[in-house]
Amino acid sequence: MVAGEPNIPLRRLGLRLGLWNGLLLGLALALGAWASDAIFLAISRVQWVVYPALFLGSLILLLLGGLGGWLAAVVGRAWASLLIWLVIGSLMTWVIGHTPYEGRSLMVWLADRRSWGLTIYPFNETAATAAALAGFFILLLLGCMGLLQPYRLEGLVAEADEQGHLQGRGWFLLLLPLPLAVAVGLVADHMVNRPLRVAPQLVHEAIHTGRTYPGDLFELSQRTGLNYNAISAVRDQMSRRYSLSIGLVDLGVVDTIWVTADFDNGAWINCRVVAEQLAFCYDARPPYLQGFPAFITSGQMPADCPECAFAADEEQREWLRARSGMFRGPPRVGRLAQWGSYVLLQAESSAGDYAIQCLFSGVNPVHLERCWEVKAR
Amino acid sequence: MTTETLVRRQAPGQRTITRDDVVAWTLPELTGLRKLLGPEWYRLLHGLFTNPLSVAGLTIVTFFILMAALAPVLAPPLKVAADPYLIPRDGFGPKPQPPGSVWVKDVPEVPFWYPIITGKDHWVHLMGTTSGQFDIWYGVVWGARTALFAGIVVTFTTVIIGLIVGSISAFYGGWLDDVLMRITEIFMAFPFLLAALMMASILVPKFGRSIWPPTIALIVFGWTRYARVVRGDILSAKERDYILAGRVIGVKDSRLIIRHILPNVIYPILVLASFRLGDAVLSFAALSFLGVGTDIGYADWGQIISFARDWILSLDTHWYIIVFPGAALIIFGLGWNLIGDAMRDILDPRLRTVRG
Repeated sequence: MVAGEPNIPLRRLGLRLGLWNGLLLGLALALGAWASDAIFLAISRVQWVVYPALFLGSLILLLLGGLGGWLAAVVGRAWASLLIWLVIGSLMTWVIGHTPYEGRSLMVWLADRRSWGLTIYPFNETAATAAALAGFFILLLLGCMGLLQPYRLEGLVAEADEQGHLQGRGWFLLLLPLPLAVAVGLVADHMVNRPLRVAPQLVHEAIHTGRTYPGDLFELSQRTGLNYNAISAVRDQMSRRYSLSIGLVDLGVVDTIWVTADFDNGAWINCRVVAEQLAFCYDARPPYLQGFPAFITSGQMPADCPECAFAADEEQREWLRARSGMFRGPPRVGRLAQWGSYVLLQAESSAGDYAIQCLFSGVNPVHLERCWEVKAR
Repeated sequence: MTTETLVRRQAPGQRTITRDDVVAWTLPELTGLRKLLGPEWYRLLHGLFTNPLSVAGLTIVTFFILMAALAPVLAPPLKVAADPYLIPRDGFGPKPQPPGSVWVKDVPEVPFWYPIITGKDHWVHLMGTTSGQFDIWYGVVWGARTALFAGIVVTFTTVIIGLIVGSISAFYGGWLDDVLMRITEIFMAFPFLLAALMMASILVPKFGRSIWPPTIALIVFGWTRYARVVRGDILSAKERDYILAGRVIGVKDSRLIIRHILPNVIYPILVLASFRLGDAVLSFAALSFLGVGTDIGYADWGQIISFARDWILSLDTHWYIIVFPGAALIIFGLGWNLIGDAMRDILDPRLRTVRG
């Protein structure tokens, strides 16, 4: 080997640098897309299920970036590299667009097998538009990176020392596009994640203020222009510890997000956020914990409690009426789980010898999806 | 600084500084940065930091970047605001309040520097309020973020699109050139602002009132000039000897474009981009002024100016509703234009020869 020449084959060095280039691009995009989202969601006390989705999304972006960088280095031609990175960019766009919806749903499914297959956070048309717009910027960036990769790698290989390690200028050239990738990630975050982030932030702020502000919330709302009064109906139910979760997302014409707050004292409220404005909050329990047991007992919705009503098709009603006698009195009802707007309840006879489970969906109105018998204690 | 100058300035009895001393003192530093950036970029950066025009421009732009970065300190948002870009308002009255008027309703946290400078504890409207009682100081400070965001996103994206379209069109020529240039001309046939206005209006129902409809509209109609400039430069560059030599020895098209042609035509694009960045912000503000931009109350200089529409006949009294946001827009544009001017001077080979 001639003195001054690298000890490792240039091709292997090129592949390694291509892999690093791709991994770093994927990491920078993931940081831009989700770092601030994770921080803001944590501050707003959003339930843990969002974080594994963000972690999984970041991991996929990292792997896709690494794959794209390595493949482009293997091929070594500018146009092929462009195509590879455009495909990788499309996949990354898909991941970034779907993570707040199907990504979270997947995490819920994995965390609780009973929720498997439920469309918890549907990916709707508005989300698709936002993802497409974010994708435009991602494809533009990654397309350029793809086109330039073979030539950037040449420069990087030339900057490596005999052991194949990068020195000052080499690192500079390798890291140079990363601020751009972070910026594109931030653009994607603004388009895709922000709409889902604002609602829990508003609810968290309202709950915090509702608990700590000693005066009249209506007067505070008038003074600040923010609707704290929305929380006043449930103010006496709120305890210090709580967690938030997104109940239902409808970013279409109505631009509504329902946020569910679970308090450690058992209180459970739903808040409606319309067009990034907190509209109202109310006790979520009546349809599940009053309407449902009343229907099992009497076969009718309680006439004197309109907020206890829930919707159910005739088949489900008949099924419940047919089993009314098995309970021999008012059943004990408990919430077993909640995934988004889906709520799983268990009704048990007072003697504990008979039990059913029912799955409800929706927020306002609540809809009975299906019921089934389970083995009692 | 020459050796002669150093010799002239030395104190009596001091050792004479030789050329070798100067070289030994300056070269390691210069070569380090030059090595890091490469000779052309180094010359550009060195020129930018030594040219008085560009130093003025850089100072202005840095001022706005700092203003954007320090916005939460300079103009603290309401503690409860979900979106800090929404300008807090002191009531809903139609009549603007003059600079220095006391903030009565919905008072944000007083910034730490305000009592230190003024000795007062009560936060005031430093630049007054607009019609609808939006605080102008808040809008100007947070509007710097919007301006930088819109300017950079629009300029960066249009440069990339222009580079791609222009280089493919010029390098391959023939029917591809015809098709791409006819498309470019179709886009150029529309009056820029009117076309952007129509496009943004179409996009608002799809994306809602946000920063994106005007940004996309400016991108869609903003790339054409870059494409034309790149095409013209590449048409000239591709006939030069080194490109022909490259073709003769079988260098691939992509390598010729990326390695040999684009690095030689990128500098005029940089100059144009620095000029157009200020233009992009002005166009964005114009769209906001016309009501197709951001949501009402969003921190955006164009929108703050639009609040002055009902008071246009009494600007002798309510001058502040237009002067402060207008000055921010003009100075921001001026900063980028100064940088563009300086870059043009630095990169113009004729000027370089005259100076050399």
